[in-house]
Amino acid sequence: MLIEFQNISKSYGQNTVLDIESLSISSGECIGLVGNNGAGKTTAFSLLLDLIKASKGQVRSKEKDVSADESWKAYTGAFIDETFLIDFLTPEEYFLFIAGLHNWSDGDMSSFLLQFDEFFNDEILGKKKYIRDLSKGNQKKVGIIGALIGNPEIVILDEPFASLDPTSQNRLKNLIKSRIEQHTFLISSHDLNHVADVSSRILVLEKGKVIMDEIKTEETVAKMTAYFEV
Amino acid sequence: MISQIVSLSWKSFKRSPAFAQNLGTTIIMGLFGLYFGIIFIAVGAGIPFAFDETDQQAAGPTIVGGYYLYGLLYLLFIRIIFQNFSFPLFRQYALQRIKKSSIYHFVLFRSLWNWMNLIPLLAIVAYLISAAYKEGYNVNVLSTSLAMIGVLYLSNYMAFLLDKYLSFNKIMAGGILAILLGITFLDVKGYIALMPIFQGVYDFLVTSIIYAFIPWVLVGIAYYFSFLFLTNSAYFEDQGVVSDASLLGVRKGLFSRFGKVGSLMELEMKLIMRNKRSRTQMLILLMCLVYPLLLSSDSLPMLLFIAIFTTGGFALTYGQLLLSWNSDHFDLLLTRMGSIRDIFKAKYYLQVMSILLNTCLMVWYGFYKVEYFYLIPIAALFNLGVVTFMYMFLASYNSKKIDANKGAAMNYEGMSIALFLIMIPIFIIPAVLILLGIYFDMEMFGLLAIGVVGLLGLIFHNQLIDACVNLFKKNRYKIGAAFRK
Repeated sequence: MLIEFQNISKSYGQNTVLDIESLSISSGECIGLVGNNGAGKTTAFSLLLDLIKASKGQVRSKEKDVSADESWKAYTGAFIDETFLIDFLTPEEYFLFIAGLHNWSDGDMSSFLLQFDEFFNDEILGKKKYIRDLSKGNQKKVGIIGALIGNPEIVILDEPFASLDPTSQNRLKNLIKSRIEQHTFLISSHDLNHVADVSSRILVLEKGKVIMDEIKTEETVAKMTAYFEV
Repeated sequence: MISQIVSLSWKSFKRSPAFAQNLGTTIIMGLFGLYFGIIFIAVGAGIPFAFDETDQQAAGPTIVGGYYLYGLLYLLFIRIIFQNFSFPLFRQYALQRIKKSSIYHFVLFRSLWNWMNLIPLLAIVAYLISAAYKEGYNVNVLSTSLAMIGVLYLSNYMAFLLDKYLSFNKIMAGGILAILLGITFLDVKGYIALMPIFQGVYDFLVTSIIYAFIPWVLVGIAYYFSFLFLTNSAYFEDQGVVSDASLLGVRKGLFSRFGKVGSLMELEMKLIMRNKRSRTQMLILLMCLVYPLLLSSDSLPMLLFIAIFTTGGFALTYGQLLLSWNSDHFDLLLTRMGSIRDIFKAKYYLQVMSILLNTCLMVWYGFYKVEYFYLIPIAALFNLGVVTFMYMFLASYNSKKIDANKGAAMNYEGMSIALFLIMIPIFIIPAVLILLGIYFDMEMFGLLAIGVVGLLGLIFHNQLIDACVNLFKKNRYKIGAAFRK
């Protein structure tokens, strides 16, 4: 198993925001995490990234507790929110900074960035702007591509479709599909349609609990659509 | 309408995290404010008693007025360096049903509510009361106060206009200040006579109540142009095309050859140069370099303190907010390959470099006071091995979110009582060692001990960094949560 949530819960005082008894994710899956606001999607990712402390239980990545062993950092890329961006750098500098942490050469970096010309839509590279001066959507694009640097086995994207324009949303979906061989994706969204387009397995979170966990088929998607329509 | 904005901005001040979570700091900063306020009141009130009229060729008030105008010329350029001319208020009010012009008027009036205007005002009022009280020191209170306050406010809006219309930057302002210093030097030496001109202007302004209104007319004109600027340019499209952006592969930085730690150091350098608060602090540091000239003393402990300040200025200012500088991209650093240890190392090496650089520059003060030849290196060792690590340990307990791109003046976001308390051991340790030395009549041993303590810290820096990192790891969830607020 690549990732295991073992009997994990997170509460603030009396308020339990996440409670997962057991959840396993194997290599090569593309997991879609769906849920309404406050369902616990970001909390689950934060626990996986060791950004917050679990109230009980543990998350294991390649059999190792993420809060005790840092080795997961070598093969995990993530973009949760703007705290993953360095706003006083230009996008190029930001990519180079992350590449430097993974010992990539400039050549590696240039050929890597070439793949994303379409996704960047000529608004990111060579604009001589700091990330803080980019629009929200373009910032998001920078963060998403930053998460892919170093070819991490696991890629975690929180709400990657939000604040992107429809064309960019489609380009992002194609981008994810084209890289499904290289990464195990964990993607969250409050919109089932986006997740259904790219995922191989969909989890529905509600008030901190996984209430549905299905391999994506037309029937399961229909079932989930019906659930959200209430 | 204006009153609504006033009440909103009062709430934003009262409810800001810095105010609420940090009552202690607020109180301490308030006390500092009070302290400076009292000093300026005392200065203002003391002036009429300081001059003995019979000794002077010009009348007392004329001399005071001349100095005042001279000082305001300096203040004009100091304002450009320190005063914050960007108005973050705009955005949130722009879409409300508040007339745009009211927002501009509010912004312009509010710029008067600034310590650079308030403190001179205190001194002026104290001076006038005291002058009126002292017989024989005859000032026309009404015309004098009108003229003095008018000129003060004129410099406020002039600074705004210079900043906006001529896009004066801080470096230009610093250059002009340096030139002004040179001119003043020539003036004091008697090669040129600038002071009589200022005195003449002052005398002219206060002779009649009508002339005293001249500065106010100018204030009106400057205000009008400032208002015009805001009306024409207060839109919120994204500005900021970067001129020095290094494009992919075009330019590699200084430290990138040193691997991960190097690229983290590079990141810190960019952070310092590209954010307002850190940039301003670096300018203050330049002033630290002349510190030994400003404060002269013959006592050994005092000289050592000056040496600690001048060699460790960077470590003292940057180290205070060690991790807070990175608060808005901290999650990236936490989850990425470079380990926390590399981050601490990068920050330590950066401080080491600055201390060594300062030491090389400052040791030449030995020609000015011979003690500096050995005090500067000793202070440098103490900074390298003790002061830097104190802040690195403290960082695990005192980490608060800051916006590095906010101005530095009077900005105490991220400050806490702990940061003031840590100053005590920084001074107590060397003081105790040096006083013990003096007590046993072996001053040199006291100094040597300080150097040895620092040297030990330097030798074991790897172990100390490890200890800082372990402490950090224990507190990482708390620190991360504080930065995410």
